[in-house]
Amino acid sequence: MNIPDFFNGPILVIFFFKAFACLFSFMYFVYSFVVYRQVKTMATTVQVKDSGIVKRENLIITITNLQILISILLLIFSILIVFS
Amino acid sequence: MKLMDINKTSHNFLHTFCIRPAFHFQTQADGEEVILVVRGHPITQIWWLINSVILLTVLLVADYFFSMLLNPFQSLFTYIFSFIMVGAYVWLNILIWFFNVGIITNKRVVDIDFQGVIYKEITEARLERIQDITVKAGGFAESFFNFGNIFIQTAGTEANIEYGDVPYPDTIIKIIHQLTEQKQNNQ
Repeated sequence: MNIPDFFNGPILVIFFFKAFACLFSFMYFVYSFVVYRQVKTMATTVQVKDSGIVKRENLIITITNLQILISILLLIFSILIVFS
Repeated sequence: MKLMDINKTSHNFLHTFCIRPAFHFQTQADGEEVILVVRGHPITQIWWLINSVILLTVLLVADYFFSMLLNPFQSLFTYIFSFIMVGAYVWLNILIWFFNVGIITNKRVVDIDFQGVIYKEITEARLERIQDITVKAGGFAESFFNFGNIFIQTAGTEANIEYGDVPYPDTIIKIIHQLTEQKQNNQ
C-alpha cells in the first residue's frame, strides 16, 4: 500500500473507525467506572428502603455493575475490531 | 386522596410526591422523621426521553450509511455502540432524576442535588429558620400538570433551598407550615 492509496478510498475511513472505536470504548469504560463510584455515593446519601416490589437501591447498583460489564465487553470488541 | 394527611404513607406520580416513605438519608438525625420526599414531576423528564429517541434515530441512520464502508463485524460494532451510548444517556438521566430529592422532615428541610456524574450538593435548613417560601409556577405545562419551583428563604447565614419542578407545590407549602406550627407549639 503506498501513501496515496491510504488517503484515497475506504482505507483511511477504516483506519479512523478502528482508532475511534478503541478510543470511545475506553472512554465509555472510564465513564462507567465514574458512574459506578457516583452511584455508590448517591446510594449512601439517599437510601430508599424496601418499596414492596424490589429493593430499588440493589436494582440500581445491579444495573450500574451491568454497565461496567458491558463497557468491558465493548472494549474487548473494539480491540478485536482492530485486528479484524 | 388526602394529600394533607401527613400521618399516612402515600406515593404519587411515580414516587415524585411521597408522604412518609420508607426513606433514609445520610445526614438524618436520631428521632428525625421523614415526612415528605419530592422529586421532579415526571412530565419534566419528557425532554431527555425525546432527546434519546432522536439521538437513537440519528445514530441508527448514520450507522446504516456508514456500514456500507465496513465489514459485517465492524458494522455490528457501530450498532451496538449506538444502543450503548443512548442507554448510558438514559440511565444517567434516570439516576439524576431519582437521586435529586427534596426532603422535609419534622425538624428541617433538605435539598439533595446531583448534577452530572461528579457533583453533589446537600443543602438543609431547620424549620424554625424558614422565613419566606415562594412558589413559581408559570406556563402551560406547570398549570396543567400542577408542578412548579419552590424557593425557601432562611434566616441568617443558612443557605436558601430550592425544589425544582416538584408536583403539588401548594401542598408542600401547607405541609411546611403545618410542621412549622407543630414545632412552635411543641416548644
